[in-house]
Amino acid sequence: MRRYETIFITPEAVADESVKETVEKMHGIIQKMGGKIVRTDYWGRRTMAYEIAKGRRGQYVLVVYVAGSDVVAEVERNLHINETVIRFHTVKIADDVDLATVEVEETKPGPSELFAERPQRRDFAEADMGDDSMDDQGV
Amino acid sequence: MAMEKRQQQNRKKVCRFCADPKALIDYKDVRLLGNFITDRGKIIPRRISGNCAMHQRETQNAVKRARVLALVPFSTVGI
Repeated sequence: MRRYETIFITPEAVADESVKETVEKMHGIIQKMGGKIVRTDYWGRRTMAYEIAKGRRGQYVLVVYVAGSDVVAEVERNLHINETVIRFHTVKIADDVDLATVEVEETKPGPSELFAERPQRRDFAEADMGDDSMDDQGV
Repeated sequence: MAMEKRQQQNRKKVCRFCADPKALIDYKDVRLLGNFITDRGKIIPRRISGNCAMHQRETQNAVKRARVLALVPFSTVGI
């Protein structure tokens, strides 16, 4: 068994219940396949360093678990299918973990916002381009 | 004067992660990674950051992972 952590991002507009649903589905997969969830952190909405799926803000969720590699494959397959997930990333933290010694941890808050404090560059350009709709195109 | 300058140049930088074994490199630690990228988002080289080879490699991997999750920019030019 190995220890993994998966972070996934959903757009800002996705409802909290929908995010919860995704997390619960993930928990279900991990538990059904013999893994153990160590902790789940909701980082909430934060500004991303660059645009993903036409949005600058996203909701981050971190799930830490101990499982085999087949579980990771199944979790990632499901995240691929899920349309509310715009980005995910899994990292192996430790090899050869004994499932019996694994303890459930308390949730931790997400990292502090580094880029939110910085003034947005080129806001004026975005505002200009944002409203560039099709109404003045004749015919 | 010249002597002082040379001493300044010869001062050996110590890898901050070797100096403090409790300081861990984590790709989720945006605040820490901010010390190792330039304003443009480039990874700061080892000759400037002072990291040892092992820890530079770890920070490098951490920055790359953080970039995938949009915690840290690939580039701040032209966004």
